[in-house]
Amino acid sequence: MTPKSLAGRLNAVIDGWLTAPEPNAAGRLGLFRILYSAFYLWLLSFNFVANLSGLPAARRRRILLIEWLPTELPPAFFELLEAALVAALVLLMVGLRVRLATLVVLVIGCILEAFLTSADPEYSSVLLVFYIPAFVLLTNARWGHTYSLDALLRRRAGKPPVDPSIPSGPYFLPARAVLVVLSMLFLSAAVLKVAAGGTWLVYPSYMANLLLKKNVDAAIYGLPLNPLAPVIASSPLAHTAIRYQVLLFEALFVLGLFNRKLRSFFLALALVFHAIGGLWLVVTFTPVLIVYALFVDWQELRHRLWPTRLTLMDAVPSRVLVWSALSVAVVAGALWNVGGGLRAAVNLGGLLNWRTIWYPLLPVALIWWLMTLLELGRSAVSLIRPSPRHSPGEGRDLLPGARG
Amino acid sequence: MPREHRPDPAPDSSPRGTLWLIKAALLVIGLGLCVAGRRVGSWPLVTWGMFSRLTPKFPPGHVSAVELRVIGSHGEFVRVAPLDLFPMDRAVIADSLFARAFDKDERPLRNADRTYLEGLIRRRLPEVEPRSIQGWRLHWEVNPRALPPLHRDDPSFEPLGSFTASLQEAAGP
Repeated sequence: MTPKSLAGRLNAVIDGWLTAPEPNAAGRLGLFRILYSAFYLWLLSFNFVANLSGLPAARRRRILLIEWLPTELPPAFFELLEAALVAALVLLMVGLRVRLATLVVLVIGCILEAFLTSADPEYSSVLLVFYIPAFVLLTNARWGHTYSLDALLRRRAGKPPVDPSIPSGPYFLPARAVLVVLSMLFLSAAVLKVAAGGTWLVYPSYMANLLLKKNVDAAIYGLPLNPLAPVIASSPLAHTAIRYQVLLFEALFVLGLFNRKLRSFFLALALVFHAIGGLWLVVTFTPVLIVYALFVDWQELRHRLWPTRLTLMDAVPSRVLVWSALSVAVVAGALWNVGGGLRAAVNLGGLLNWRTIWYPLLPVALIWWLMTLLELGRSAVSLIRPSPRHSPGEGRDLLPGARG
Repeated sequence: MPREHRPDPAPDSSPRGTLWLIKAALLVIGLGLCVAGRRVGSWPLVTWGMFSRLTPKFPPGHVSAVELRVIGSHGEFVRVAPLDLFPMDRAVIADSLFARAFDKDERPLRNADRTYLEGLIRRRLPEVEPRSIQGWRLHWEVNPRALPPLHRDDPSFEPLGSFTASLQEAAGP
């Protein structure tokens, strides 16, 4: 086999993986768009970006993306950008001018987050503010093809509608691209912990001391404590095992690219990992949560909860729908920094915060993880003892990655 | 709703160009992450190096944190903790700002920090018209292996000084 033909085959395998069918791809991406916008608004409700106005330049890190902007910016600048971002997120949620709204969310979101990062790096937000909208735009903003005003208006104009249940691979392309980036980021986390100055293999008591220190931090902030921290810290076997488990999980997450069952296993495990970090280690990695929602079949869920077609908007004239959506977007943007009522409405008066969101998610993630573990176990058994009812190879991925 | 597979009726159903774009983007991101290493300046092209260089030591037997008391124009005061100004994931900004605003050294930058802190308080706590801002260091004895490791409601207080809202030096360092 020549290098050229080998490269050609590799390219074909990658193309096949990226565009492999995914159940309900069109519908779940449309529903994900709504969830993404709501999640983004919820995160924004806690972050007052205008807080950064006046922060001395000497206290900031240099971020190339915002180097061209003046260092002294008034609060109104940040509030204006924030208002525009909120308006764009509302439009994205209802699905009006989706491509433009996605572009605005990407650009303004990145500028605001870059300012926040210049004051204090928050690594988990890159997926929310950059990678997801960027990959959606690169793939023609298909998340506006279903469950959107755009789709409704297209249908009324006589154009064929997109069936939400189609398993068309291109609809799932942004999710797969984000999964690749997530794998790279997890791999980078593992590599940097053990190489290039990483300390995880140098300090045997790393995890014990970290758990105790985080418990002290939690006590200072008045947050709930980790009741297991003293127990784990006094058991070298336990804290060493946790340390290596973290490294193994981060390094092996990339395996989720090669098989759908492994993907579910690692995604569920990642959720458990983040939930434990959020609840007991004061690790605020909450923005990353939205990535995992990309891999939930929301269309199937909607179909089970509401099997009939949604006809709520059918009787409303298009002009009314469009102007109502635009009005809501403008009002939401205008009121975002007035008082605090709208922010409070979005985060339920602070009840749903970076930490409390993990309480319902931890049991769900644990159940999901156990189910995927069980499924992987079944697959392993069937590999060892092929069932006589099935042909050899059935039920597993013959070509790694071919089924995403 | 029909659930059988139908061809993608979207106008841009051919993904050939899109595929090349995605693959090129992933390649650039992969290479970019390798080049970026631990740098934050290349954000959003950053790796996840958090906690990787920590050298956590067994927590000391004593910890402290800075809290503010904002004295209003009628003599009333409001206690301000870092979480009153920033959410938890950015609380470190307030933590270090509080400490720096009452630092004994770094006088030129300390004034800049105080100006910023005052503006921040005016924006976030509009119900208080600050006349002066006091810094207090709260101290706790710590038993790291106990639950709780410290008694949060029973700190000892150390005054760090104050500055008037107009930024004229008052009592303290």
